[in-house]
Amino acid sequence: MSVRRLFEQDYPALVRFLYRRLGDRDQAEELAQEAFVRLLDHGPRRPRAWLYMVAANLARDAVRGHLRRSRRLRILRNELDAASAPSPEQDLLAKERAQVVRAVLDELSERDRLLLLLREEGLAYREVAEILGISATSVGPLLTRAQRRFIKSYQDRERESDVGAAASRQG
Amino acid sequence: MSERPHPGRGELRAFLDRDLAPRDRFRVRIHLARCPRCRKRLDVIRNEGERVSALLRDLTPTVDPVEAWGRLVVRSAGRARRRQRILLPLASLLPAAMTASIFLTRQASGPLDEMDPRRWLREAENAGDDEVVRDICCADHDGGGLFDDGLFTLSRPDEDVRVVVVYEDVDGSGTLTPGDILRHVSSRPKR
Repeated sequence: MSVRRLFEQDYPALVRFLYRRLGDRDQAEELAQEAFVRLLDHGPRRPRAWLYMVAANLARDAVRGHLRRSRRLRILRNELDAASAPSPEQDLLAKERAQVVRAVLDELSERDRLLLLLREEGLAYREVAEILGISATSVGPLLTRAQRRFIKSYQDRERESDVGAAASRQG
Repeated sequence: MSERPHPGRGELRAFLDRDLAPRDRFRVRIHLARCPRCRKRLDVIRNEGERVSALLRDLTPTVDPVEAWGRLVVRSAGRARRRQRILLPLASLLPAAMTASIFLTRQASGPLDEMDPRRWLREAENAGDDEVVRDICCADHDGGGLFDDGLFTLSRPDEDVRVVVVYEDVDGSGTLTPGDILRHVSSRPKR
């Protein structure tokens, strides 16, 4: 497959994967571009799995290096977004939900997070296995566990916010 | 005959993701047709997956692949230029570095035996035009399958060849150096 074709096919998915991992669209695009530039340099045998592996490593380094700074920026940007463009109620709800989803993703282990995000981009089990360094047969069991943890954590947060809202109404 | 065990959650997940081998897929399908409990488990797993996908959909950025491709081309070309700027000067230094390396190897070899043709080579080099040195490397003279055998000859101008040395180019330098193994030395040159 030509790089152009791979790019057209996988670039949006790669940006989405990185965005879900990092929570910063610009940074996600930046790292996706970097991953493709490296792909052009190396010409790996299985480019798709390689691309996601590089992207996952770049994202991990970015999170480690700029965790505190990116969180500050994210909070700031969310505040700016909310201030500059007042959204309809549905948009606001979607934004709130997105924040919760991101927080839940951040709580997961790196392996669980990558399992969910890689599978969500339609990577085959053997590709996911190659990226995570696990056997292809263990992808299914680990994926179901990751999905359960994700949903449970999301539900816990929803319950917490419901309890918080009820308490503030009573107060 | 005992019934096969119920498929695990992971196997059911892989079944939904169409990531099972055809044989296993067939086995799970047959089992599901007969087992209402596993069909329920399958529904639960399917719902969990759909819930995760729906929640993650909220985290979907807008991307313009055409504009992004343009940026990639510019970025890649820029990096290639930068690499060229670094590598070209290094490449121009390479022949000089190789010559220096060969020279230093020869110099560092210490005193050589009077009968050693590598000493003759050194002397011939110092003698300038007085000695004609031919050093042809490398071929597979010994039939060992490796092209690492060199043929070294020494003569004076307008004279027959006086010395023939066959050597094994151990260090891969492509010329007779002190580290090489001498396989055959024809005679000592008369000076």
